[in-house]
Amino acid sequence: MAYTPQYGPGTSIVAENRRNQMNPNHDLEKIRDVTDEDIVMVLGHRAPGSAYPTAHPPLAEQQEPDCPMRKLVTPTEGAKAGDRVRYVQFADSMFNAPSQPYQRTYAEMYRFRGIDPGTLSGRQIVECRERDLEQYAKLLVETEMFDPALVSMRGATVHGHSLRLSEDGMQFDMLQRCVLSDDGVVKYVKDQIGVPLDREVAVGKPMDEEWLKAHSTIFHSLVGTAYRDDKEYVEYIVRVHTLRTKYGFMPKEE
Amino acid sequence: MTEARYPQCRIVPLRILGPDTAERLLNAVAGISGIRRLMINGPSLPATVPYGPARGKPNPNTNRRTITVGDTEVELRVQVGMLTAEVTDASVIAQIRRACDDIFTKFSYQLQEGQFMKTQATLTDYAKYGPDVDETFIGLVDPRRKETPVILQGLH
Amino acid sequence: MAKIERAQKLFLDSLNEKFSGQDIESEKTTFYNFNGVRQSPRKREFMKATEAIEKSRGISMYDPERCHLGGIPMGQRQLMTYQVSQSGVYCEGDDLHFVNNAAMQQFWDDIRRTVIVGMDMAHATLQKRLGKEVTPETINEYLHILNHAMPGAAVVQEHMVETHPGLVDDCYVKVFTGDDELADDIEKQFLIDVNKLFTEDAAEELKKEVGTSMYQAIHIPSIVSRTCDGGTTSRWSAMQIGMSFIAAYRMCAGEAAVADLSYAAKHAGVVQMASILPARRARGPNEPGGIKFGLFGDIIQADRKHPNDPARASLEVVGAGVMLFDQIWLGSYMSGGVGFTQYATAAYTDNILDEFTYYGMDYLKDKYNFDYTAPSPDQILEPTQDLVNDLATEVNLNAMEQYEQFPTMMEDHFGGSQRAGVMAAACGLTCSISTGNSNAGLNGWYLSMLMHKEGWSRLGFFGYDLQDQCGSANSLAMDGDRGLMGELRGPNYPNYAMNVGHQGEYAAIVSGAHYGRGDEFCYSPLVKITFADPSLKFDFSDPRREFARGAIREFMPAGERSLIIPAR
Repeated sequence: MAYTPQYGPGTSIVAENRRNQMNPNHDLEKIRDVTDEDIVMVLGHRAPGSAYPTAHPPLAEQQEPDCPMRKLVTPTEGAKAGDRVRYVQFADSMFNAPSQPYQRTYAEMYRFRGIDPGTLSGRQIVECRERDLEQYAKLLVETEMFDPALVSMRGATVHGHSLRLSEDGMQFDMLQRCVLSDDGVVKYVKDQIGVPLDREVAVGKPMDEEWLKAHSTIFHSLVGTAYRDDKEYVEYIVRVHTLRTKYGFMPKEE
Repeated sequence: MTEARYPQCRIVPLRILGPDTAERLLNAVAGISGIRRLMINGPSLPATVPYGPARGKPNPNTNRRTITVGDTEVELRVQVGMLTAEVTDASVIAQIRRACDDIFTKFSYQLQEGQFMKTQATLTDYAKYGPDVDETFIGLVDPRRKETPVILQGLH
Repeated sequence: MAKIERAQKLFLDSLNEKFSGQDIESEKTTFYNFNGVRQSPRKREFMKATEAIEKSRGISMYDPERCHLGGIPMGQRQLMTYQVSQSGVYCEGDDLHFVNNAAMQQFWDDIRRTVIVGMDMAHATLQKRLGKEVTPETINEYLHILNHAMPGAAVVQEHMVETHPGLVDDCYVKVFTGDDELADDIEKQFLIDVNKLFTEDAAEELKKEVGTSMYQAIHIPSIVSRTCDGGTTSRWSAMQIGMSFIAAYRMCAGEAAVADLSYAAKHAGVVQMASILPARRARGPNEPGGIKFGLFGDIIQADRKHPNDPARASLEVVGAGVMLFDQIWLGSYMSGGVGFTQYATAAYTDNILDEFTYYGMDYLKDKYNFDYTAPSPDQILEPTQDLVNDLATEVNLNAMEQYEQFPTMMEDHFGGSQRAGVMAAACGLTCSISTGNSNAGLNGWYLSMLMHKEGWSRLGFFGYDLQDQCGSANSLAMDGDRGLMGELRGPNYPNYAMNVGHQGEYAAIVSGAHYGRGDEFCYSPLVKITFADPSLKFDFSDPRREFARGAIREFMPAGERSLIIPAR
């Protein structure tokens, strides 16, 4: 019997959005265009156009040990080339940002290969080979998983997820890596870790409140969907907890 | 153990303010008779990157600028998220509310009454100011900041 | 909003939330009613002194009326001050670091320097082996000698080196017993009077538990346990006990019975406050990692002060517990870091946890007719999984909604770990107080964690999350290596040993199970009686208030050293 992933419970729009982001067969809506060069600039790991620094020679040029796992797993492009491991980290506002830390990790685990995500309350980091990272980061920025005002790429100094938004609707950023221009477009003026960029990188206009509420993956009783209202979601968590409790108390199948 | 001798209130806008709105709010509130002490609170806007890989680099930020309250220049070190006031009596709070109603038209605000500022020296104050601290200044700056409060003048 | 308004007891008592719309017309101010700065004699003195200086130098100087009242002092802060919950004291986070807070230091000193030593074995040795007579008079004589010797004075040999009494004045020994007649014959200065310190019912129960036995509640000098370690306490006390028996009962210092007395005082009759830890932790007995949660609930005496408010009593355990287990144990003993205070204070400042917990109490009343203000085994609810699920779900959802509705609360607890610990603690306390079952409380904690993580798609950081994401499975487990009843778990319990923001709350959840039943003690009647002693430097019935007194430099600790250091 083929296993059909369900991704998660819930009848709310939040639950639906979560499932969509996780499901690799769901095409994430592309909302904005950001060039490869722009992504490389904001990531700040290498100068655009420069060669990828390597951690080891390309796999084709080095003797691989006789390892069944290596035969089983097809290396990613970055691994093949011997790229070093780099990261992208996102801070997501709790005021209806379209993706949120654990949601990112779940979605990335379903959609990407060769990654090492780390999940915290104010940020989520994912590490992988550099050229793979650039592709992944591009997808994460160009699609419905991103909002220019409420999601930001921050390698350090990430405080902002739990704060009120700024007057102009931007998530607070001590380093103000991106600014809302007069033309309504959000532009990165610093890279991920706060080093000023040679030129601005535009990432599009912030989405409006209605869109955010319809695409958010966090429950929020003040600005979005109340958790309490998704009864199926709450019931499912209670069920998971109950089953784990019972099995831990008396580890046997009923 | 402690009793606030004067009423306190704080204004909590539902957004963190940019410097222009902060300037308008401060002028409106500080211009009301009966304000004893004011404190603005919010996330820090340091002039240089304080930690992380870019530590020590300049940190230009459009939200950090010098504003003018009365005829006093105030260099913002934080993005204004709350304004706390100690007032002489409750009627002043009503006037503060009216001032806020005029200013916060695009988004809402909450006016909370209670105690929010220290009124009594703690160990930190003792370590910083010694035994004879002027209680007017207690709790108005972050404990490890060297700055002193500014004195707003030219308001009445 | 109706639900939120119902919950507005403590948090909003102090905030008195008011949205715009009120119109209180009053143009009058009473600005000068207090006579401004001139109400202070000291300020008047300054102003007078300044006049003379200004005249002589011709430059203006101290002018508070112009500079203060002619203008308005305005400061900027990134950090808000904290209110130590239900104490009314506002302070800085720094004031709550244990290094800066003498009350916090004394709290731990008073625990670490304490052992309880039974007297029955020693008395049996004296009576049966040596044929000596043991009477209330001889016990009083012994206690006189012991209170001379315990601080470090010589009793048996002459010319011995002694400690200066001014350095060890916090050291003493009292006794207690369940035998009222015997207690009557003990000099009052040496007796912990169970009848006076507890309600009549509680005293009867505790005396029944203690029986006719007599125990010594021993507190060695703070300065000794600080210079050495918790393992010193029983050794130091046993040495003085041995010497005092020899002196009081006119024994020969070398006779073989002394070995029996020593064995009783060092091992057989000793109740440590904390058990020894595995070798990899490298800690002896009486160190924080070995304190069982049930025993900690007996150290804290807030249920004596608030017998009809198990929520309040449990919240005091939270405050005391996070201070000891997070700030001191994990923060310093185990990691050496300084960041732990930030996590810990979230649980005992600004009334936020208090607010969430009392919401749970109100919910119990409304839905289950459980009156938390009348603790009794009779109204305890059956600890079913369904009940725990319902309570934890509701309390957790309410807490999340409070954070969502009040942005300042979310900014106060700006990190996920702070929010997680506080919400789960409220859930755990609600479950344990109402069921009288510590494991049911722990189970509620873990449902809160899962629900929080799924609702906001975030929890703490991954090190913090680990134990919470797998905790449901061990919360009711009792098998060896897999589980234990809550009272017997402790900071070094396998799944609990690693991370900040849990252990103090667990201790409170365990204690709450007993406070909710109105039990006289959680784990050990001996510990309960020992820490009821008003002669202790720290008042264990009011730990959060004591910490607040430390923050404002009102708490006077032991461990005086000015006698032996140069004058400043």
